[in-house]
Amino acid sequence: MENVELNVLVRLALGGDEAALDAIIGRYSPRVFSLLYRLTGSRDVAEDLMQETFLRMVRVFEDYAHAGKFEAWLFRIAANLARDHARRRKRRGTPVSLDSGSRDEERPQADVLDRRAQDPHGALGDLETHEDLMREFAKLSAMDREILALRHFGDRSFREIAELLGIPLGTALARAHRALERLRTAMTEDDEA
Amino acid sequence: MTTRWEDYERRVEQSYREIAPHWRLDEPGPDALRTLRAAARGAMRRRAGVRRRWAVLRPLVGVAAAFLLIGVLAQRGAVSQPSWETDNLQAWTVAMDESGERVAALLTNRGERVSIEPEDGADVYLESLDESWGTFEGMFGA
Repeated sequence: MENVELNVLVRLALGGDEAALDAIIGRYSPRVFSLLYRLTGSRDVAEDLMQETFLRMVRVFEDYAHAGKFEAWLFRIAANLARDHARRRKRRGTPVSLDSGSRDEERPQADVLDRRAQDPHGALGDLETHEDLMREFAKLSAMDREILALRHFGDRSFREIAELLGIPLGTALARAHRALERLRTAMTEDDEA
Repeated sequence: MTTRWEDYERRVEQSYREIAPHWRLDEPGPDALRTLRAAARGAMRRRAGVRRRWAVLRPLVGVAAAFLLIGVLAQRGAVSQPSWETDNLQAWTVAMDESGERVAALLTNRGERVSIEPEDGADVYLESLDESWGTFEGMFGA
């Protein structure tokens, strides 16, 4: 099922094919998880919301009319769940922090460790750049984070993101532009230091 | 010809592409993935179960709905054949008989001249009352 086209997978899963469902989960879970992790700041919460995203996908599959927009639909579910979670947290008064006790920041990923063994300087550089980037990303406003995370992990265009968030395209672009400038400046400063 | 927004979008997109290669994917833990796969398969089986049960139940629900509809229609049919005693029809017809007098009394109380001349309007009241009696008869077959 690895190389089966998405359209075929979705149709099979709609018909109740569990292998197709597994393949969809395998294909999208890293991106959905990354989006949720970067929006919520907690691996545990992101894993819970990832599960909820795919369960909701299965539950409302019948309402989903496949017209080649499966990804947009799936990431919309995930982004809405992250927003609901943030709203609940805000009501409870719990602050959101992307680097407080996150297991990810403490534990470099296996693929990076492998690459580090083969090319210590290059892989370490990658990891550091990524971590610098994520540290700066965590300082962005919730809306800016959502726009960039949807662009990167959801692979949505800025137009689609504006529509999904219910904001004018100009606002989405201006926010993304400002946020990307901040990230780039932070990375350049780190390189110079 | 490109619009101002398209140019801006292209610039922002370019700026994003410079950052994107430094941005890795985060992997969910293997336990979380295992739990997710099991939960999703469970949810899919439950959904299929509900669909199967619904396929069996649907004809029965259709029959039950048809019986319900027949019951409601029968109930409505019963209302169209009122009973003289239980539906208080006698009081209704007495009120209709007296209505002409009541209109006259009303007009008298208001200090208006009671007349059956068309320009005074009283006959219009009475006429409509006569018609209502006809309607009433038509409705109940009295």
